[in-house]
Amino acid sequence: MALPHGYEMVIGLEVHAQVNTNSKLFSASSVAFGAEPNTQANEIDLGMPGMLPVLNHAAVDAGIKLGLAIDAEVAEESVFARKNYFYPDLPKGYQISQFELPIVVGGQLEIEVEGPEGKEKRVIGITRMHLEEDAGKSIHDMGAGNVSYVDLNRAGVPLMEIVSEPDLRTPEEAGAYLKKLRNLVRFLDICDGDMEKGNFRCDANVSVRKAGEAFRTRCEIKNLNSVRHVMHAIAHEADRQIEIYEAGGEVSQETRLWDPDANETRTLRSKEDAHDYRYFPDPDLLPLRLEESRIEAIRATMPKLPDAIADELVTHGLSDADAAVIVADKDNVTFYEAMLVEGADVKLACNWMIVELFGVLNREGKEIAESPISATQLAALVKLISSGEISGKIAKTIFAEMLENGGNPAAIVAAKGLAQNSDEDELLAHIQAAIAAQPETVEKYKATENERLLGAFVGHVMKATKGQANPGLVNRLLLEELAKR
Amino acid sequence: MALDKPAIEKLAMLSRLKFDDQKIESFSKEFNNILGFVDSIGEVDTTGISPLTSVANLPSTPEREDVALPPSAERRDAHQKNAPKAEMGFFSVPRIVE
Repeated sequence: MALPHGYEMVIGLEVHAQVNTNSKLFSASSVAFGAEPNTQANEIDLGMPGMLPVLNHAAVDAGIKLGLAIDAEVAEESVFARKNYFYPDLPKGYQISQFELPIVVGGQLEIEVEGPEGKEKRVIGITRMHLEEDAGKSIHDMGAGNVSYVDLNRAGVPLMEIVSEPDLRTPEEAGAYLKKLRNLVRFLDICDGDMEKGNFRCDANVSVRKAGEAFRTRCEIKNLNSVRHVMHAIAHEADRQIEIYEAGGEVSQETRLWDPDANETRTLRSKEDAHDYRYFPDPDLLPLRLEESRIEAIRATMPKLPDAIADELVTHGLSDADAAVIVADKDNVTFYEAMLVEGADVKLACNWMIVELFGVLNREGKEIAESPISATQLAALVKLISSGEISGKIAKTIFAEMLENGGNPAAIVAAKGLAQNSDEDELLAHIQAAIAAQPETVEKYKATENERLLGAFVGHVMKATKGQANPGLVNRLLLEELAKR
Repeated sequence: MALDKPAIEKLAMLSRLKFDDQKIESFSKEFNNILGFVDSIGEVDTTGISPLTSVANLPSTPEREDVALPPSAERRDAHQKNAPKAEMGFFSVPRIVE
């Protein structure tokens, strides 16, 4: 969708992905979700005097994995820095982050978006990724009007901040980038990608310009906890900025908050009261120096990533589009691979999964992990089709039954007498009856060889067999019989 | 480098501290004395020497295995005895408005 007055959007995204470690970035406190307030905050997290942070090995490994997966440079040396500000959910008075020397530098993600001539690939640059600790959580609406409550269970939880280049041009591209990145961290098993729980958060930097111009002033939008919100907020923010420019005004650099209920962004803080973080290297921590051997050991154990899996599925006979649907989510791949392990046909398994099963799941707003039909059950159904025991049409009846009451497809076939009829003698008798009943259609067919006319005979046989006749066999026998006339 | 009154006022604001004008005046003198002393380091020629962020003689910052402690309400309660105010397991602070 083109913007009015020849403007285009310039969008960069900052993603905070929580590393799925057991303990915090610099302390042994647990990071488990949902614990009683402050029971997972120890002396280090509370910033008690004399406490020293010690870096979590697993969080560093996660950072290396991400760096390798986005073709970035994993820095031989990175430095933890103190980012100073005052807020009650930050007991130390500073956040340990990385500033001048982050652990991952450069990198890229390839996204696919709908262009004027169909699907187009675009490469989005990634500026950097650094490790940092999360802050605690403030709760304002629980106690009396003049107090806020602070829970420090989240203080010190490891985060990866992944900063994109301002390479995104539309909300759709931003959405595609976020989905791709979320999927990637899930495949790497370094973050669960749960946006509702805040384990994968996004801030968006948005500006507009006329094509070919230098960048104009940008605004940062916070409080975006779903892909849909990110896309809406960017579109609304761009509209707001264009209106200002068209009215002869200037956009001022500020941080804005997305309000999903009001569908608008509003000022959180302006440039004048922007924080002055006074970064400096944390004297409690030494520089992190990574040996080449450690990086190479991790490279050797990297899991297969979505793009590579998609390429492989295509060599096994799936279309690009079908392969893309399957690798769009780690749980899809797990489900699909489980079907293949059960011996289901590659293409049939894909069709039944992404057409029939996804159709139902989408309708009910469910994820594949909540599917009422397991991979094993769907594979069993697909195998009954491949072996000719049931037709595709009967399979849909059985599928509906499985959704409704659960159960094993072979048992449903037996209980309902739905097995495909491949009895040649019986089918031949039905075919002969069908031909005898429609002499005019036989004449027409012989004159025109129009295959559409065959439907009348097949329909007759299907009716006589309650839809259980083997369609391939009926077709062959029918053509043989007609050839004799 | 010199610290003038506006710079000290800004630092005070960032540090959530309040001073009267007289105090700022005396701070300005003290700060500038310290900075003047530190400035003498600037006389050393550091061309071609990369910045040093630590003097500890270790190849890299130490790392610990990713093993978590179980949650503890006891430890929390002990910590909260040090807090000016705590309620229902939370630290209680003057209302934050942002």
